[in-house]
Amino acid sequence: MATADYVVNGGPVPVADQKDPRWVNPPLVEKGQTYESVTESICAINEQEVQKTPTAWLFSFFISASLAGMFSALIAYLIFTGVGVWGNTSPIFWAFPIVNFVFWVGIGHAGTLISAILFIFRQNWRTSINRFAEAMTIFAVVCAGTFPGIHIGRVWFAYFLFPLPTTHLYMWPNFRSPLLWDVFAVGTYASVSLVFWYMGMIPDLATLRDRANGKIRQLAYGIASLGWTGSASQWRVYEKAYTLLSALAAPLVLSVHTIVSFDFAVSQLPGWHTTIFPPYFVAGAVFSGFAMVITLMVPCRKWYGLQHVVTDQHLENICKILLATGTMVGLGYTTEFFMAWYSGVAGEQDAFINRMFGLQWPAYYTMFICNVFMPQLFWFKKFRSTPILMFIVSIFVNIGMWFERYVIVVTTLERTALPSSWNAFSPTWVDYGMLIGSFGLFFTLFLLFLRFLPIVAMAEVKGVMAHEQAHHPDLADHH
Amino acid sequence: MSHHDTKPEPAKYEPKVIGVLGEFAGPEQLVAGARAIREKGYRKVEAYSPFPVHGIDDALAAPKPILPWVVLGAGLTGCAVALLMQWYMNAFEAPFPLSGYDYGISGKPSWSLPANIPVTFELIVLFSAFTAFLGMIAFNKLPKFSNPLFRNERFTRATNDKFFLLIEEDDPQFATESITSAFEAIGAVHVEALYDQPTTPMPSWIVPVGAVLMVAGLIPLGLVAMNRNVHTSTPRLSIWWDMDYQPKYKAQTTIPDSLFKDGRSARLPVEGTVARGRGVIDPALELGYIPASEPTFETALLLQEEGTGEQPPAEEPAEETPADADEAPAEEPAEEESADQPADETTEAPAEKSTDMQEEPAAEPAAEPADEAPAEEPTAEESQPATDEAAPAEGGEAEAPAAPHYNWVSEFPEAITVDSDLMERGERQYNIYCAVCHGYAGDGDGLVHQRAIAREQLATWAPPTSIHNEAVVKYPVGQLFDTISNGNIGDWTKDGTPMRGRMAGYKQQISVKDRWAIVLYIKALQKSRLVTPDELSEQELASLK
Repeated sequence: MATADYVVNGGPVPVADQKDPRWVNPPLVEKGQTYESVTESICAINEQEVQKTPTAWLFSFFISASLAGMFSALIAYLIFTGVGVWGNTSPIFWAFPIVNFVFWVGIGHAGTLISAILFIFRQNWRTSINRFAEAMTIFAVVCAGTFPGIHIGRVWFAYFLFPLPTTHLYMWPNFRSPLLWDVFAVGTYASVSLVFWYMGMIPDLATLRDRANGKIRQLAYGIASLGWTGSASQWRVYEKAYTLLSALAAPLVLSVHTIVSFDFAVSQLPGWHTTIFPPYFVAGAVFSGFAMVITLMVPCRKWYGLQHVVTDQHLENICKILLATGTMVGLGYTTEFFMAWYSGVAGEQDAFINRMFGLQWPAYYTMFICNVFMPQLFWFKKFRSTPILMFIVSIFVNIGMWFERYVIVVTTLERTALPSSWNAFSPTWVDYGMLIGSFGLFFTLFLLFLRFLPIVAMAEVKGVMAHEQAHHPDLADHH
Repeated sequence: MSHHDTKPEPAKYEPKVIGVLGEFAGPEQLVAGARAIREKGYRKVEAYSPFPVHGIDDALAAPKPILPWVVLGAGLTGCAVALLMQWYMNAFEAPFPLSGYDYGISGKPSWSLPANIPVTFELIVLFSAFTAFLGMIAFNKLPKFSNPLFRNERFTRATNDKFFLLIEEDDPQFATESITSAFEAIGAVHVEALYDQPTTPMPSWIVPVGAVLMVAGLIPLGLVAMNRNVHTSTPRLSIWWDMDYQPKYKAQTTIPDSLFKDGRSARLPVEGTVARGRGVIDPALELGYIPASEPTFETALLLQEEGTGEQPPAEEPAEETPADADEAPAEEPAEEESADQPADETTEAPAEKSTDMQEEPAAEPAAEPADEAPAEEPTAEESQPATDEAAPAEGGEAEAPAAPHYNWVSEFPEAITVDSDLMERGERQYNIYCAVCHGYAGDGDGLVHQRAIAREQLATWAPPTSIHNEAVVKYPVGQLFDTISNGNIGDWTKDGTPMRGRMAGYKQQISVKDRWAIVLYIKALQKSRLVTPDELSEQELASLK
């Protein structure tokens, strides 16, 4: 069965197109793969013996776990000393913590987008990368959730965020506040993403269980896979539930960054109070998330030898999405300036002149160059087909998107309506330490995922292979 | 742990056949096999595959899952819960414990749906998604850790690359031999009977240990609940005391033994500070009027300059003005000239007279007699009926507060060269910015107005003023300039400051020079309706015939 050459995916191709080699879709899974070889190549990553863990993994894990440890220590320092350890100061009460929060939440979006929206649109190419991207979502949301949690100052009152009854106060949260919407949006997003990710993994965890040869392995994967057998009646309900979850997650992912943007847009500060924020935030989130997918995917694919599953075609598709969303983000930046001029509001105009030429001008130009100019390189085929080049561009985009949030948050707050309150923001070593530490946490979780969980959705990849094979005889019949 | 007992011990336990398992080579064979075996009359057939196989549900004649309906119900529940929760917590209040709190914020209604949509949406998704997931688990009867299939060596490939059909022993036609031959007939690669096997009981210590852990887990919650419900007279512990007590002064407060003489905690701006872009050097040019001698924030810089008798500095703040603006001497406007011309001034405006006008002083004097002010009074005629919600313009001139004495500039400032270039520029800028409302000929019938009429919005629509309106025709150029800059003057407050009407100001969008160009073009448009035959030359008259 495996020897069939899978030229085409997704149905018969007209004869005229077949003659032109440029119109033959590249295979979603490379030639010569069998169901078993897919299982083998992906499970092998998890089944390596402890003594044979690759040095590169151990080294990366050591570094990122140390940074994550530093992150925890800094959080402890913050809690025991107070938020004064940050550079946050009147009137810049929102600084690095919120910048990092928005940055990480944005990163998460690509995972859900790949999983849910591409699933609904039947984009079969997603199957090789969705697990990976969903894991990225979960870990990014973990990092994101940490920052508002510690930014509230007195973390031991964090439960005030939730609508819990208090016996003495007759007091409830204010449901007209976008900050409370945020609690619901990010909370729903985190838990639904986790469920979506876990449910997608159940069949693959069962594969690992059935191949396990050690007691601990067998027990752990056995419990995690819940006794999945792969019966037709299980698949039937499973597929229905997966479709429903996708249909729910797709609007959810759009709502989350919309609501994050409301934190800004619903306030009345110049530079924030604008209706373009929701679409522009969502486009930016997808943009940064896909950049992070490239950043993670390019090295992993090479180190784990997954080129046959995550093909060049996958990377090229992601590059095209980066190009499209990067252009949308650029449109957002220019529209903001147009609106500031067109509104005729002096405060608004000042805010934007200050953004481009004020104290934070280096941040503004970093943002603009990284986010608007760099992805334009993907117009060139060379950049879309060379992993190292797209990796470099994706690093620029990651940097640029962090600066975007920095520019939005800091430039507006530095210049309030009351000039006597103007201030200049300068981060402290704790700010930098926490930003780096959050990357440590992210990569620690990600490396653990790579080591112990199935990093490619094997069942889905096999389903796509079967689909491609099933269609090949059809073609032969028709022509 | 079950794998200890994977090999049955026949001496103690007689394994029972619970089904027959047939292995198939691929997904197509599995579907074909399932269809064939059902045609042979078997009913308790289950298929196993490493991925969902297309067409297997048809072949097994499986019922459609009802999960979507359950999820729909959960979504509706989430919607209802969210709306009720928000209503109860923010819009309902009663004198009993745990009552809601009627949250009044800036006089907004306690209950307004738009603000509640985000949380409602999120709860719909949350409830539906968890129901989809938990429903999948429940309908599949998971978790189920012990299953005789897991002890079958070949079956471990069912999650890898092999495909199986199982006929369970409660099938009415169940007989191991006949099923085996039936499977072989339809192309099974391998057939074997599946045996029941004894399961290991859970270790006896699990239940008590689990119970103790659960109780222990509740202790912290219990302590929290207790402490929230008891009263104490000892002050709260201040672990982080510097968060509660900080050596600082708050803004807008006084300090008893102040560092500063005035006792304020904050400092005022240095005297004479002019915000960037706010200083006015040539008021005739930049404001369209000469302010009264009283120093105001806007004229502070101007007066400073006058006091020292120096020329204004070369660079103009923020607003882009023509380079020659600096040449207008700051002291010139304060000199002289009678302001008798509101009426005749309209006839002087057209471009052909521009050279004459330039020879005249640029503006009215600051010391203009007060009795001439009424001529310029922008009152009922000028402001449109719907312009001001509060005071209908029909109230009449008598009741309206007297328009204050405003020294409108009646001639184009010296810095503006009135010529045909300026007229063309004015026409273009007028057509860009003004014509949408006021119309190309200035009759107040621009596209925006026509659309409002077409949509029958007369009740709320304040039509744009016609520039040929008698009052507008009488406007000095300075007032036209001010209207373009800051919007029309709808009314005056008692202290003599203008209250702006519906038209918004355009000074942020249109440069000073362009605003004067538009003034010039408006004057030309007005003139085009007022010209008398004897003012025209023979040639011009001839061209009209």
